[in-house]
Amino acid sequence: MKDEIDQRQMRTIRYDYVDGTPDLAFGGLFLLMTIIYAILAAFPGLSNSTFSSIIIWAVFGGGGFLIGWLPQRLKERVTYARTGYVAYRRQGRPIKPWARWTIRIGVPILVIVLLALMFLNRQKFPAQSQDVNYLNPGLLGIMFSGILAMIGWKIALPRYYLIAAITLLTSIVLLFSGPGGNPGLAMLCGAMSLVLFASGGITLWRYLRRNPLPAESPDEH
Amino acid sequence: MSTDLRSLAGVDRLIHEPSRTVILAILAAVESADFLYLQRETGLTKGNLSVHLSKLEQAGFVNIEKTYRGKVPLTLCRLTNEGRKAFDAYRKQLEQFVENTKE
Repeated sequence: MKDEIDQRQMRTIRYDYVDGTPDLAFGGLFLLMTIIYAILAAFPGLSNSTFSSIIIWAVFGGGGFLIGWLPQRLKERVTYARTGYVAYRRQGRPIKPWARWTIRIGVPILVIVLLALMFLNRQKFPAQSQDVNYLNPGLLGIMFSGILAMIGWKIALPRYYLIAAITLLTSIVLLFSGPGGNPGLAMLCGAMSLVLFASGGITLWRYLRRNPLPAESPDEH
Repeated sequence: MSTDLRSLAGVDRLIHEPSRTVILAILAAVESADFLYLQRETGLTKGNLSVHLSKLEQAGFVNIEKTYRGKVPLTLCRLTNEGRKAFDAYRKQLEQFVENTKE
């Protein structure tokens, strides 16, 4: 009985990932990053401008919003009518809506302002080694693969192990023989975006095949 | 009666029914879940699920809210604080029983 309780609870937690919408949202975020890094790689002059830093952090901020918003809209249209609605508990103390929005808008603005200030006053900081940039794509990829493997372990979904393995492989290739800096980052983000879109697309397709819309109204309690 | 069996005899009978245990286990993992989700996960008929939910609601373990999402009616079920405490206690009793039987 105890094992069954654990299994049921794990299934419920995993339900958030069952339709592939988080993969599609993350795939969209990595696609945005690919475009940004590809532009920066194509126009090297842009890389050293404050504008590029602001754009990159705006993409991260906007991407964070996209990850929260897009899966929810997709689930409202696709998932809830087929297999039901679940709202997940937020850990920690409850936070009021105005405070949540202040954090959502305030933190990205603060980060952008701080980065802009740091960039404008970069002469005051110790010289940065250009060699580190060469390692960035590989190291970042290894970090991403670690995060993906952790998600896979936490929710016991094997597809995330596969995505983590592909990301790790791409990172190792980039670390040893790929281009560094922005071209490498564009390649890494592009590969991750492709894998996540493929994973999300296949998962969503399988979910839709297995769960057709109920013929009648399901809610007659 | 041995201590092991006595510890099991003390469990909440309302919770210690397979269908209701599953309902509470699901609701304990989330903020709320709708009737359709619970029906699919438990494999119960609408009527049976309705009866079990009513019993849990009468005991004050579950709160049932009838609402709308757009034009679609939605029955949202969530565990009350009392229900969460009762389920946690039940779970601890089960764990204790399993531990005792291992020794």
